[in-house]
Amino acid sequence: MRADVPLINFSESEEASAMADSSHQLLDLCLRFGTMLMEVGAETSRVEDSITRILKAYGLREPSAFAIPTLVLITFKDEKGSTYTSSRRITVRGNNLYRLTMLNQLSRTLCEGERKTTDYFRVELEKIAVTPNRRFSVVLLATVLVSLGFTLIFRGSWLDALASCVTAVVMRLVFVTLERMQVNSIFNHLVSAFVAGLGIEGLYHLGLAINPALATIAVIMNIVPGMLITNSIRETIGGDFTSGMNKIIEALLIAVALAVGAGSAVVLFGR
Amino acid sequence: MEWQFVVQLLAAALAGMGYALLYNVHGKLYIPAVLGAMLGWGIYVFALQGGYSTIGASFAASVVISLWSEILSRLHKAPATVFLVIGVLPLVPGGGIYSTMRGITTGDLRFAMEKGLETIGIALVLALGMLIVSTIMRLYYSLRGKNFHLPRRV
Repeated sequence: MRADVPLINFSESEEASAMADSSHQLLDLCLRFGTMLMEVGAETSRVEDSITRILKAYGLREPSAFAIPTLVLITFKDEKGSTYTSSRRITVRGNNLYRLTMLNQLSRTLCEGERKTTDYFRVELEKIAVTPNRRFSVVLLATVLVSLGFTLIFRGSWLDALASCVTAVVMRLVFVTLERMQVNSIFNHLVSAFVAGLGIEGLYHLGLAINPALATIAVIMNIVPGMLITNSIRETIGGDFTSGMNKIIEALLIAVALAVGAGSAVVLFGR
Repeated sequence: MEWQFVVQLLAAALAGMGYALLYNVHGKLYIPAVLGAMLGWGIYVFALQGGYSTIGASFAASVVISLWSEILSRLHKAPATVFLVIGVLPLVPGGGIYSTMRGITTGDLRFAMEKGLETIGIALVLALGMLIVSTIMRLYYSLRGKNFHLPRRV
């Protein structure tokens, strides 16, 4: 049997196969759109709503989208009634509100304007995918700002602020390095919190007159899952039970990792 | 008291600036987002001084920040989440959940219970505040607009 002869010969017209082709393309593009939205930290309901709206704008029937932090699943029917379904696993998760804004803008343009081509969709997605992420120096600056801000919010002294800023920079270096090595996120939080505890306790035992508990929290505030726990409750109330539960579990595990990490540093110094 | 209030506002602005950079908020959205963080924290501290509980103050701040985000999202045609995330971050009980777990791991269960319930309470009222405002805004816009269909979701 020759390999290039198809086993089953679909007797489809040119037009029908072109339609099926564009539906497949749209399915793939929407999956990429959904995963990108999820990866930049969008809410589950936004991901599902945007995909459904885009598919409707392209004239497809019964669009339905399901998203949880680890998966996007899309199903719709074309004009002839054949069903298209596909899903994509998400492994990366971060926060990039700039990309979120761009993706939201793209969704608006696709829904508002006249029916756009799949090519337009693809080109715009490519453009958003290559927008530059924040530079490392900016991340370090942000880390210093967050620690300084929280030391002041907790009414610490300037010495506390200094200690927490220095330790936070070291912790961020460790955190980003482990993140780039694609280490498990919980483990990463554990190690980073340990480094934070170690730094603050070390400075305290060197004789610096700081409040170690306050300074440690000011450092840890850089990586606490505060947004995660608020969003998880928000999504659970909004009816996205699965992703809400996912996020609550993740937030609790991260918090345990932080407490154990920072706690072991304290134990190490014998307090 | 007055001086301390100013320091708190500045501190919230610093934390907001840091978070906005970390979350990659760019250009013309940066300053409104940071102002949101200042506003929310200002309301929170003000309410605390006025004798409200932590939970009550968090709720008031959450409602104000949500309103601020909804208005700005209409002005800038950007998702409200951008302003909401940065604005609410100083209030979010990250320190609380850390302290709770700290209490559990060190065996201080009374402290853990106290902190844990407070953390859950704060997270709940923050979420409720956002929910109430976004629902009312959607109701308002859909009643005013021509198409009278309410979204199922919040």
